[in-house]
Amino acid sequence: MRALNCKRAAGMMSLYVAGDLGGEPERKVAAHVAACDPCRRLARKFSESNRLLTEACRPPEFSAEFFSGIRESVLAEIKRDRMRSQPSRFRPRWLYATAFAAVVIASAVMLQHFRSITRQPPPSNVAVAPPVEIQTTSGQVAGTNSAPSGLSSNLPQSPRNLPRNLPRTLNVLQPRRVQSQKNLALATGRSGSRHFETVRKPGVSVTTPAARSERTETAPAEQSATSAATNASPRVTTPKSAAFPGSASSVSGRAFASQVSRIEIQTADPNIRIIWLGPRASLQSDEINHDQDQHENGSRR
Amino acid sequence: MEVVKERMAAEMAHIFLTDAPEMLPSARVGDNADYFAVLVARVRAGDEFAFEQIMLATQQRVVSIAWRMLGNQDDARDAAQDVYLRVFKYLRRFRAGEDFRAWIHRITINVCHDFARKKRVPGMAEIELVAEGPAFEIAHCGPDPEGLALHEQQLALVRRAVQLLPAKERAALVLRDLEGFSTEEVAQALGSRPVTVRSQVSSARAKIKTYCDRLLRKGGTSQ
Repeated sequence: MRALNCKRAAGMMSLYVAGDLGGEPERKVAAHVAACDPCRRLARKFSESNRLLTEACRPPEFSAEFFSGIRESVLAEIKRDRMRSQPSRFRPRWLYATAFAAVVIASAVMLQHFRSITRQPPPSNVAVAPPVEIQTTSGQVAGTNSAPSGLSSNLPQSPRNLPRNLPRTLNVLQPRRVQSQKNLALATGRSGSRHFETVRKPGVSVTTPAARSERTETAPAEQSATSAATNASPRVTTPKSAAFPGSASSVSGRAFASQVSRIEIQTADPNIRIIWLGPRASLQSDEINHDQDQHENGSRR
Repeated sequence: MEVVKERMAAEMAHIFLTDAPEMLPSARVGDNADYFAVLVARVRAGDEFAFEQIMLATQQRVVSIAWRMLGNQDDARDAAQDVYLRVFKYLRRFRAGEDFRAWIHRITINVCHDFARKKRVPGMAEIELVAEGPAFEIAHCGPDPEGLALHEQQLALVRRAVQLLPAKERAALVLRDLEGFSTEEVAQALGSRPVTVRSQVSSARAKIKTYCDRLLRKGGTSQ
C-alpha cells in the first residue's frame, strides 16, 4: 500500500475529520496523520474550526408563538389568495358565457337569412338587359306591353342604372337575383320604350306565328295593366315558339334552333341591332322560367 | 388513471384522518414518507388542516435551515413563510414517490438564496475584511463576562463568515455539517451529485478553517 504524502493528505483532511471518507482512503489518511506531526496539527485545526462553526451556528430556541405566527400568517395569506382568485375566475366564465350567447344568436340570424334565400325559385342562367328599344325581326315593334317573364325576369340591372340609347347584352345571372330581376323586368315594362324579342329560329329573325299567338295568350292581363305604355314594354318571344309545328321556320332551322337560341335587341338607332346567339340549355331553363312567370303573372292579376 | 388514484388516495386519507383524529399525534413523526404522502393528497383535495399538519411536521427544520442560511431570526421567519407559501403553490408539481422532506428542503434553500440575493450579500472577499475587524484583537480573553461577550461576538463573526460563503457551498455546509444530513441526502435536496456535494463541503470547510485560524491567531496574539 502506497503511503500518502502531506499534500494529498491535506487535501482530504476536511473530509477525514468529518468522517466523509470511507474505506481505503480513510485508512490511508489515518495512517498518515498518525505518522505525520504537521498533518496531525492540521487535523486538530479542522476539528477546532468545525467545533467553532457548530457552536456559532447553533440556532436559538424558537418559541411556540414564533412558529404559530408563521403558520397563521401562511394560512391567512393562502385565504387571501383564494379570495383574490375567486373574482378573476368568475370574470372569464361570464365573458365566455356572453361570447357563447352572441355566437348562438348570430348563428340563428344567419340560418334564418339563409333559409329565406333558399326558399326563392331557382334562377335561370340567362338574363337579358335591354335598356334599349327592341323590335321584332319582322320590323314591327313588339306591340304589347306584356313582358313575358321568361327572359325579362332575368334583367340584370335596375332601369335607373341603365343608360338610355345604349345597347345592353345578355348576362349570366347569379342565382339569388331572380326575384329582384323579376321586379325590375316589370318596372322596365311599364316605363320602357324598349322592346326585345328572342327568336330561336336561326338565320332569320322572325317572330313566329306561334310566338305571336303565345304572346296574345299570355299578354292580355299585362296589356290591360300597362296599356299606357303599349309599345314601350320589352317583348320576349320564348324559344318554345320556334319549335311549334306550322311555324315559319324550316326543318333545318328547327334543328339548329334546337341547339341555338337567338336574341335580337334593337337599339334606338334602327340601323343597329344586337343579335345574340346562346346555347339551348340556357333557353330551356328560360322556358321553364317563362312558364313559371306566366303562371305567376296570371295568378297575380 | 393517475388522477383517479390520487383522488382515491385523498378520499381515503380524508376518511382515515377525520374518522381517527387520535391517530394524528402518533403519525406526526415527520420522517414517515407515507405520512407526508397522505397529507399531500389531502392538501390537493383542498384540506387546509392537512397543510397545517405539514407545517407542524417540518417547521422546526425549515426555520433552522433558514436561520443558519440567513443568520437572523426575522429573515428566517420571513423565509419560512415564503417557503410554505411556495410549497402550497407548487404542491401539485410534487411527484408521488419523491422524498417530501428533500423537496421542502430544496425549496427552503432556494428561498434563502433569493433572500440573500435581495439583500445583496457580498462575496467571499468580505470574509477577509471581517477577519480584519478589531474584535479579534481581544478574543479569547477568558471566562470573565467581558470575555464571554467577546466570545459571542466572535461566534457572530463566524456566522457572518458562513453567510459570506458562495451560495452552493453554504447550502452544502449547512445541510451536511450543521443539519446533519448525509451526503446523499444533501445531494438529493440540492439536486446535485454526492461527489459535487463532497467537493463543495470540503471547500467550505477549508475556507471556514482558514478564517478561524486567523481569528484564533489574532486572538492569541492579543493575549
